[in-house]
Amino acid sequence: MITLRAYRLGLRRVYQAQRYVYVVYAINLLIALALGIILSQDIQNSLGHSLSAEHLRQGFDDLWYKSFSSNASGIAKSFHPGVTGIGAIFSGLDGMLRGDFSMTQGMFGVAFLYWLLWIYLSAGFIGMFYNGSFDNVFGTHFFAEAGRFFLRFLMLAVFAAAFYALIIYGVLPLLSKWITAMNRNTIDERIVFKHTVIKYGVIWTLIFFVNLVFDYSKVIIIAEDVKKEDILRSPLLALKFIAQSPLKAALLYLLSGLTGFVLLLFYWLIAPGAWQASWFTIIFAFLLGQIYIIGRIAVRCLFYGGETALYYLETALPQGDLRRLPESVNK
Amino acid sequence: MLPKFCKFFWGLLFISVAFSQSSRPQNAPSFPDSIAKLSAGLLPDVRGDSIANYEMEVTLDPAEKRVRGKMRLSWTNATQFPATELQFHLYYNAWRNNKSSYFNSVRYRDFDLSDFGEDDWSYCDIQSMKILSNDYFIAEDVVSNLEFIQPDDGNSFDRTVARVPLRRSVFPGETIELEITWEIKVPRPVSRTGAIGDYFFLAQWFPKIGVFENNGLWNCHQFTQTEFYADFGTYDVRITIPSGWKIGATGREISRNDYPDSTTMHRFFQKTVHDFVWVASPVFSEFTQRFEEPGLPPVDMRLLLQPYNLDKRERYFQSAKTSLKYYGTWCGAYPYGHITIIDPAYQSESGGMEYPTLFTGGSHWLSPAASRQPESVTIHEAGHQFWYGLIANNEFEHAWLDEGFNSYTQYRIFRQHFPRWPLTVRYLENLVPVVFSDVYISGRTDGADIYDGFRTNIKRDPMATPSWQYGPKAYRVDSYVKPSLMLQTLENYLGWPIFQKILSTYFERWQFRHPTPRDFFAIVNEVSGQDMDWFIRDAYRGSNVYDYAVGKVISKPEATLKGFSEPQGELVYQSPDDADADDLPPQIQAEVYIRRWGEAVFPIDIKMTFENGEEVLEHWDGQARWTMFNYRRAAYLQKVEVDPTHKLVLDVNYTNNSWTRHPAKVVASWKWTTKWMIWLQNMVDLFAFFS
Repeated sequence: MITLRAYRLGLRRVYQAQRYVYVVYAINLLIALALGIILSQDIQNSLGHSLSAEHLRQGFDDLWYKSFSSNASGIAKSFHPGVTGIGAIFSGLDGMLRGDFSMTQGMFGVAFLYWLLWIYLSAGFIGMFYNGSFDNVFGTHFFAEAGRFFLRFLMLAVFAAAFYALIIYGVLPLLSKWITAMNRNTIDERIVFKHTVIKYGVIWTLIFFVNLVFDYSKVIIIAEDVKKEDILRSPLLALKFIAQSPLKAALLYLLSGLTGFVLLLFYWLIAPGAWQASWFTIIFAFLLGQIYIIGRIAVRCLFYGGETALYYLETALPQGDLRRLPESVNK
Repeated sequence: MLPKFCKFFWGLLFISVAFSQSSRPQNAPSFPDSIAKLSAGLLPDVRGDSIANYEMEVTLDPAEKRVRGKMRLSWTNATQFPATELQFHLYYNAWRNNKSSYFNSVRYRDFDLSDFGEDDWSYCDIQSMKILSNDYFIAEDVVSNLEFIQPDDGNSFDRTVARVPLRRSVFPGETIELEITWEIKVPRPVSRTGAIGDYFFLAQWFPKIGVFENNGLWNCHQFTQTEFYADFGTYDVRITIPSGWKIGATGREISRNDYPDSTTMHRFFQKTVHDFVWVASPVFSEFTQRFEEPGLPPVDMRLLLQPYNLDKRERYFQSAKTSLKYYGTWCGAYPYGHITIIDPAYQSESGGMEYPTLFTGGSHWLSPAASRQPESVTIHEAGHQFWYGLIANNEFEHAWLDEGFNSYTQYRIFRQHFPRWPLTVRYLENLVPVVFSDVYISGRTDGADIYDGFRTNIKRDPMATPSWQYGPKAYRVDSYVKPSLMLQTLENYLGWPIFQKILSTYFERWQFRHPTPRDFFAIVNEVSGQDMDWFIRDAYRGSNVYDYAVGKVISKPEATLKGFSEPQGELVYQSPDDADADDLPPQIQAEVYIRRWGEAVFPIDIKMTFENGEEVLEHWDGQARWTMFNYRRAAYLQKVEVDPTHKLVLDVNYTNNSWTRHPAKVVASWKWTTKWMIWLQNMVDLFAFFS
């Protein structure tokens, strides 16, 4: 089945491009480390020579935290005990799910730069996936593709942002208002729960659809070398492609998403809580978290890899002739 | 009944001062002090638990959201002053319109009324009021004399207090009986009362007579930002609601009649309580259990549960039993023999509230046991049966006497009976909980640091400020937080055996009565045998903060002698480099400065621990701005702890109470920073989705 074939190809592509996954991860880690040094210093200044540090080392010290948080400023304001274990993931996911990005307070600039970085690197990934050129040690091909298509991808991303904003800041508030009005006299919390889940189901179906369209837009820009002047046409081309094989596109997207979900569940099972007290256990817990982050980045690349493969299989490749897949040329 | 000559005396006195009263300020004393003193000893023999007695017949119209009722109120003047008028609370007028004092109070002025439609407001409308004839009064229609007053803020739009002047005073010991008909419009849920869907919670729903104090004045405040105050009495209430609806109310249900029009009358009766509340809805499921504990009287418990909370039945019952057990053991027995627990409907705003023999809990549908929901609110509200229900403080003026006491007792129960409290975070619009089982959060009495803004809000008003006069953001900290910390500090200072005796003495002496803070503090001094005014002055009457801290700490080898000295009477020059210099191991000199950063004073202990295991416990009266301790030992000072047992939980910053030679701050900070980094990495990477 072509969808499964595309999915497997996507996995293989991610594996072959793993050094670039690590590049993205390294940048992600560096950002966190730079800000982490600031936070660590804030915490150390707050603790001084106090025995609260010992409580914090062995577990958590809520009395200290309440003092710290009431005086916190800058990035320290974002620190809270709910960042432990799976809370580190849920906290961000919950905000994103609800379209609430206030947790980025003080770090919006960093998040924006990372967003730009991904636009740049996604061009590199898709270009590399589409052309099958994984072998360049210095990555000149990867970065060449990234540079070549960055501006076009940036234009596309801004266009996509308008759709996301419309959904999150237009449709979501309207739906919320409608559900609030509908439940004005509801006295059973289960009903509100059901409506809330449906609401976010609708919103995120819309967002996933937009995401799907713009992912294929990127693939098409590279595959067809779409000019800057025609960038805004690429979503229409993507829609046309998806309309030709809606089930395959949806199923592939679902498979890739499921991979990410399984990764999340796995991390939920192993995510360490607050029990670490020594450097060894602290580093161990941190490394577990890093494995999850690398996995997340890889899953993002899997989306690109699978979608690129599906587009190639459906359009560029003569029926059944897999020998002409770019990766069969492996110098 | 008073002897006739006393009535003559009072009558003459009344006439002689009548002209002088006409222009007196509203709250001025009715009689000169000398006359008040003369009348001492003439206090009528009236039971304090039977002053305001109500017999009511009411009917709920769910479609129109109205309750119509008729009552017979029997009120006895239990003071030594004649009452020339009657004053009533009409609480439901607080939500009559947006000009009321409630919606313009510092606590509620930002209440969002934008979606309030015509059906959402409320009123309490007295339609008729007649004095019934008895031994003292002749029948008289007085409704035309009814007028609204605003004794607190003069806001003419506010109609939460009404007065009825009397042609004949109610003299001490006399009883006046009134027949009143009234109608209320039930509001959309606000301030723990109201109707939503087919759930009706009726609190403060009837014209309630105020409290006539033993200074000749009515204590009848407007309803703004506080809770309530009323006299004890008997309630005999017949409530007619649609058949098939479940009903919970103050008291026991003693009879029930079904009518052909598909309504049912439920009759509830309760003696010696100061309020009556009821709730009706067809959705409840009803369960009963019995509380039995050696040494305490049994209590029949009735639970009305929402359909989505059936899994919490046992948790509700166990929590209520825990509360009855510990409050009963520590303070005194619960006397009524029955209690009703209401699991409030979602969005009903009626959760977490106390009424005589009935209280409301509250829980989300998804609520793991570790989240302590409904346990926390159940223990707290069941506890209010004692602090508020039996010890009936004036909540308008001294809200802390129930909220602070109850918070303190509640957290004592948590420490005694429950495991440590883990952090629960609720996601997806508060609907989905996740428990972080190894991150423990503080209880309210663990320390003053725990509430955001405590250190800013604590200085807004002293606790002694009457509750209805608290300024912005002061109510919660001065009614709940600071009082519970104050009581915990008192317990820590005096010791639990003495403090438990204080609680039980206070409970025994003041149940079914209206104590004031002065009454409680008098018992503290009496039972403890100490004058605690120095503490009460700072903690209760003032708004100074407590903050003791470790200041500078020096622990270093003592300098070896260098320079001139007379070791054997002769002046010689000595240097550490001398061949015959003393080669004994150097002594370690330690200097420890302890600071008082706050303005409030409290005696504290300071514990010094040396690296050889030696511990020294010092005691400081805490008066000066700082003190210093110095030592000469063979080992370095390892740690210093100010108030090591954390007696002074009012200290606003416990982090600065300790010092250690080898702080773990680097490893501790990086432990939590690495967790935060994973959060940041994930959060930043989420933006990649939108790229």
